[in-house]
This record gives sequence, C-alpha cells and structure tokens, in this order.
Amino acid sequence: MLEVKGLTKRYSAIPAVQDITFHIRRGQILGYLGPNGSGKSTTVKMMAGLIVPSAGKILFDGKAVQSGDSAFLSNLGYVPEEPQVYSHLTGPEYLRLVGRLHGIRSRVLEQKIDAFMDAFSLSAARYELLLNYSKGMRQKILLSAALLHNPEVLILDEPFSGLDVGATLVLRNLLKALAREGKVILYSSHVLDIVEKVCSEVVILSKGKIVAYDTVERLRELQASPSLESIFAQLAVPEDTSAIAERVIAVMNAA
Amino acid sequence: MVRKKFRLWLAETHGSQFELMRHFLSQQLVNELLSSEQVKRLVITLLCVLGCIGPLIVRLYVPKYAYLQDRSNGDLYVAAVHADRLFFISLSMIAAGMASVAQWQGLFPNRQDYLALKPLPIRLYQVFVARFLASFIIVAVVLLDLNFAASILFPWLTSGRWQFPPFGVHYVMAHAAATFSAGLFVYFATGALQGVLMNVLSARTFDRVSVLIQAVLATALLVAIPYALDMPNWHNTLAARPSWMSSFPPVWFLGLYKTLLGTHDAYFRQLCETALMGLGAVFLLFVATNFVSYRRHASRALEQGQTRRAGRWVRDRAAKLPEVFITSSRERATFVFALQTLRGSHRHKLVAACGVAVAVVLTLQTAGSSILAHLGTGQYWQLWQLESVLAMPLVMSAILISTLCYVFQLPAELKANWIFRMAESSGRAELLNGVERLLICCGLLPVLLFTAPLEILGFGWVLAIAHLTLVAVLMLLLIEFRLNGWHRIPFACSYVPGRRNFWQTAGAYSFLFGAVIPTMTYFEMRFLQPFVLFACGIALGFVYATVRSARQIQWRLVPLLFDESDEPLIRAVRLNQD
Repeated sequence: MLEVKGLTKRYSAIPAVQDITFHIRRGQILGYLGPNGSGKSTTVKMMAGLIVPSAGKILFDGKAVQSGDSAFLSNLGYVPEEPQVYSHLTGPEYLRLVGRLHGIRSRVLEQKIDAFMDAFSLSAARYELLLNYSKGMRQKILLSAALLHNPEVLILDEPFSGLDVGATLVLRNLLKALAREGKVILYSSHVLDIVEKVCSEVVILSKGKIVAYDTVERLRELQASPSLESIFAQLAVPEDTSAIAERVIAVMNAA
Repeated sequence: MVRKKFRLWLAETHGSQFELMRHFLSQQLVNELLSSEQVKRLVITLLCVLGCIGPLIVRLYVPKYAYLQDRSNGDLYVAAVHADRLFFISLSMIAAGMASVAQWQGLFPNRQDYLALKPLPIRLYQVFVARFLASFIIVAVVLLDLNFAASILFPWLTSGRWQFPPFGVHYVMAHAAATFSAGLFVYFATGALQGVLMNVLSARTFDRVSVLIQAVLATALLVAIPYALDMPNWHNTLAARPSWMSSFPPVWFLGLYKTLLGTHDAYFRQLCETALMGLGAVFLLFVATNFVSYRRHASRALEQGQTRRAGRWVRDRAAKLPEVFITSSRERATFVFALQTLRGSHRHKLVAACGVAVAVVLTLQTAGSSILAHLGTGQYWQLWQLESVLAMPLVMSAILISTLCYVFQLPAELKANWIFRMAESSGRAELLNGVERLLICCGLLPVLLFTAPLEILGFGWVLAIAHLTLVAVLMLLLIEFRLNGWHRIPFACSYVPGRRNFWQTAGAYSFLFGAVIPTMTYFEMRFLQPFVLFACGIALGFVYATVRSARQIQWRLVPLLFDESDEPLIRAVRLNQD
C-alpha cells in the first residue's frame, strides 16, 4: 500500500500543497483531480522524488520513503505531465536509456522495447527522432518507459494527453489490467469521464488542499450530483463558468 | 526627453516588418544558458572590449609613429602605415566573420520560425528580410564598435610631415569605409556560402554539414588571429607586392583605402576594383541564393523529418557495441547518452568540433613541419623537432579532454533530466563511471591511435610504446584532476557561465600548457630511454590508482548535481527546497 501523510510543499513560505493525506491499496486506481494550479503535479513530483516535501511523509508497504529512495524508485513507473524527453534520441534509443538506468539486461531490454514499440503502433517511427514525434507518440514513449521495468507503483500525470481514441481505449484497459495484477496506481488528470470510468476512489484538490476524498459513488450521493463533472464543479470551481465565458466574449469584442 | 520619446516609440506597435525584425533581433541574443540580465551584461562587456581594442592599439603605436615621424626618410613610415592599415582591415574581417559564424544557425529562418509565423498574416519574404536585417544589425554594430574610435584615432596618430594627403575628414572616412566594407564582405560571403549550400544540398545533408562548416569557419577565424596580429610586421612583404597578394582579400580593401585617399598607384587602384567587385559579387550571390531559395527553404524546413539514416544493420550493431566493453547497464546508459547527445545536438557538436579543430591545427602547426621534415629526409630528429613530436600527443589529448569536460557541462533539454534524477540513487558511481570512460574513449584513445604510427615510424616500436604509455598515464591523471569534484551527468545539469573564477581557470590552463606539458616534454627528451619512460609510467600509474580509488569513494557519497544555480552551501542544507 502507498500512503501519503500530511504532505506539504512550500515555496518561500507560500504553500503549494498543504497537508495532503491519502492512501492507495494494491490493485486500486486512485484518481487525483483538481483545477490548474491546485497542486496536483507538485504532489506527483514529490511522490516521484523530483522535489523534496517541506513536511509530511510517504510510506510504501509501511516503510517511509525518503527523497531519492532507490528501492522505491526502482519500483516506480512515472509519466510526467509534460512529455519532457531527449528529443535528439529516437524512440528506441530513449527507451534503451531508461531501461539501462533501471539496470535491465540488454537482451531482455531489446525484446521489451520491440514489444512496446509494436504494441503502441510506433514500429514505423523507430528511426525517427523524438523531435518529430507527435504529442501522442511521445506520450506513448513515456508510457512505455514507465512500464518497461514492470513497476509496482505507477504515478501517471495526465497520461491520456494527446492520445488518439484507439490508444486511449488501450490505455484505459491497460490500467484496469494493471490494477487487477495488484499494481498501485495514482492517476492525476483533468479528464473527468475517464477518471469516472477507471478509478475506484478520487481525491479532489483545490488551492493545494484536499476538498473531497471518497469513492465516486459516495461522492455522487453526498453532493447529490449525477456526474463527477458536476461534483468537481461544485467543489473545485467556485466561479460562475458562464459568466467567465461572457467576460471573454466582451474582451474579444472590445475595440 | 529624447530618450523617453525613443522608449515610448519602441514600446509602440509598428509595421509587421519592423516587429519581425525586433523579434529576431531579440531572439539572436536569447540563449538558453543565460538569463536576459546575463545576456545584457555579456553584450555590454563584449561591446566595451571591442570598443577598447581600437584606442588600445593606437595607444601602443604612439612611440612607433613618434620614431617614424622623426626619421629623415618617409619610406619606412609609408610601409608601416600600409601594414597597420592591413592589420585594422584584417581585424575587422575577423570580427565580422566571428559575428557571422556565431549567427550561422540564425542567418536564415528555421523550422520553429516557420511553424510560429506562417499561420500569421505576413509574407514569407518578410520573414527572410527580418532575419537578414537582425543578423546584419548585429554585424554592423560589431563593426561600428570596433572601428569607430580607430577610424578617427589612427589617421590622427599617423598625421605629420610624412602623411600625404594631410590629415582630414577624408582620412577618417577612408579608414571607416575600408574596414566596414571588409567586414561586410566577410558577412555576405558567409551568407552566400550558406545560401549556395542550401540550394545545392538536400535539407538533410545541409543540416549535417552545417555544423562542420561552422566549426571549420570558426577555427579558421581563430587561427587567423595570430596572423593578423603579425601583420604590422608585413611592411617588407607589402612593399615587395608578391603575386599571391592580389588574391588575398584584406589587401583588396587596402587598395580601397588607398584609392579613397586619392592614390594614383595603378596597383592599388586595381586592388580597389577587385574589392568592389568582390563585395558586389558576394552581395549579389547572397541576394540571389536567398531569392531563389526562400520559398523552397520554407517548404523543405516544414516538411523535413529528421531521422537517423544509417542503415538498420549498422545502427543495430552500433547500438550493441558499448555492451562489448561496458558491463554495467547504468554506466552504459550515461556513456551512450553522452555520445548520442554529442552526435545529435548542433550546439554541443559545434563546441566539440571547435576543440578538435584547435587541437589538430595546433598540432599541425607545431609538430606537422617536424614530422614532414623527418619523413622527407629520413634523418634523425633535430632537437626542436623531437620536442614538438614528443609534446604532440600530450597537447592534443589535453585540449580534447578539456573541451569534452566543457561540452559536458552545457545542458541539453534540461527539463528531460528527470529520468537521471530518478535513477541517481540506484547507482550514482556507476552513472558517473560512464563519464570517465567517455573521456578515455574520446579524449585519450583517438590521440594514442593517431600518434602511434608516427611515433613508431620515428622512434621504433619499443620507445614509441614506452612514450605512449607514459602519455596515457599522464592523461589519465589529467582526467582524474578534471573529475575531482565532478558530480554531474553530461548535459543533464544547468550551467551558469562565468561561475568559476576566471583567473583560477586561466591559471590552471596556463600551468598545464605552460609548465606541466613543457616540463614533461623536456624530461622525455632528456631521458628518452624505454626503461626510464616505462619506470616513470609505472610510478605515475600507482599515483593514478590511488587518486582514482579516492575519487570513486567520493562519487559514491556525494549526490549528483542537477542545478548549478544554487550555492553549494545552500544546496547542502537544502535551503533551496522551500
């Protein structure tokens, strides 16, 4: 089980996230939702060891995870929010780099790379530089890189970003299959309908704080709302969205 | 008041051509390594340095011209003035060349420009014109800065009884026109060369040879500096008027200088004609190649897909090669990543290519003539020849290792370094071992392989192997010196230029090239016996092994550096984390 307890991150005393607490059991997919700037990616980066928390702790199977804990990181698959890759490498070259950093033996690594490239329909682009890949193709490479070493924990920050319909369906099924295999999955996203279909529980974040943490069904009951979207709008979007749209039109029409 | 008005005018939106030019001008000065404030400081410093060169040279010439004016005969004065004018013209050409070569990638619009600007309501030619104007303004500012003071001070300094016609505005104008046109000749020639290549070569081939040509031009300009500095001593050569001189562009512009001053000498008038024709030709070629290619260039840039075109068989075998000699997968990861970045990144390739070129040029200049003389005559080495040949591998290797260490510090796609940051804890020392191996493979082995046949030819098998063993151990020690305190994955850490103390760095290099290498070479010359060299190699080998094991321990303990902008102390106590 992956537990996050009182996780806080402050930049020059200004809190980006405050007192975040949740847990993810094996075989569970936890949806991590929030509007832009709510602190989703900050939490994810702290869990991936990319930034050091100001307070709080992360526990994996009851053991505290320190920043840069090699045992935890070797069991972690991470897809960042932005597809930041070395664009002067080809897809297989990038996967080879990641696989080597995970210490995967060459023979196994080559087989895995071929299989992932094939599964994500990237074989035709294997000699292309990542620079020329579309956003969706880069996302597929990042997903392959996250799954290459068969991790126990998956932290996915907007993994569906840029993916086409086919790849989205594949990934949705893949996430469910991985959960069935007992993986711990944190799924951070804006796309509420996928979260609703894939996740068993959700955490909703607003201004760096958790405003809701429960199963989707229970939240529907509590908020008396038919969909996750309306729950999200109630909890995390305080402004009148129609009024904002009107304001934008007014600005556009200004001379 | 005027300044305020100018600022207000600048803040306004002007025509699309002006706005494009403003955009490209600021883009030329943008650097991912530097903040805008640092760029501003760097530009001001460079302009100050360039602006000081003219007055400084003129100041140094004061005693020389005081002496020449006092002589009873004006011949030597005339010869000296000619040589100094040629020096100023050459300096101007080198400065313009440097500014043009530095902007090589920015002389024409690139793919990003087209992607960003083509959907906007502007004409394609406007993008080209704006790019040209932006690069032209930079070269013009460099030329103006370099020549403004000298155009007034040098004619004034040389005024006196031997000066004919007497000092006046026309002197200032002639100096300014000759130096400025010489600089423009180089700028348009560089642009024309790029234009011709763009028309002749395929987009992919152009992309490949581009860095190579940029590196060759940059090196040629660097190599030209000592020759330019020697030009004030060319008065005898200029007086002799050898035939090769009429094909030497700086002399053409000396002809222009003299013609503008009203000379009746047919030789200089002919040179002036050549200068004007040359300037016109490169300008026309520049315009023509742009005119012909600007539409094609846009479509090619947009449609171009950058792929690794080597055959699949070759690629697959090449990818497996590091597995033969590197067993650790993490070490292999760093090693291969650094090689691939060097191959794939223009900027890094350019800096590395310049380092290689400097090493080759220095070696050819010092040891080349000795080797050729020895091979030609088959005689034993003379003492001076022996010295340069013995120093050759040391100098080459030291330059290559230093260049590689510098290139490794320049980041590539810094935001993508998260994969290394996540992998750090699982094998820090293994990751860094890749750097050591890379320095050995790229900075030491090629030099040993390159120099071995020459040394075997010159010294015989045993002595050559003994000498190269000693060189190898010395260079391994240099690598250790460079890796002491090195805690970064190549290209994966931010870099703050000027962070290291300049005098410390300059002192270290002066000590290496001015004391260590000459001392070692002297020692080798003095005791050129296989036994002595082997014994020294073994003794230094022990020192190397001790230093290396200490460094290995250090590598396991100290965290990797991914952000150089923080002070080490702040990083150590993690004050930067909040």
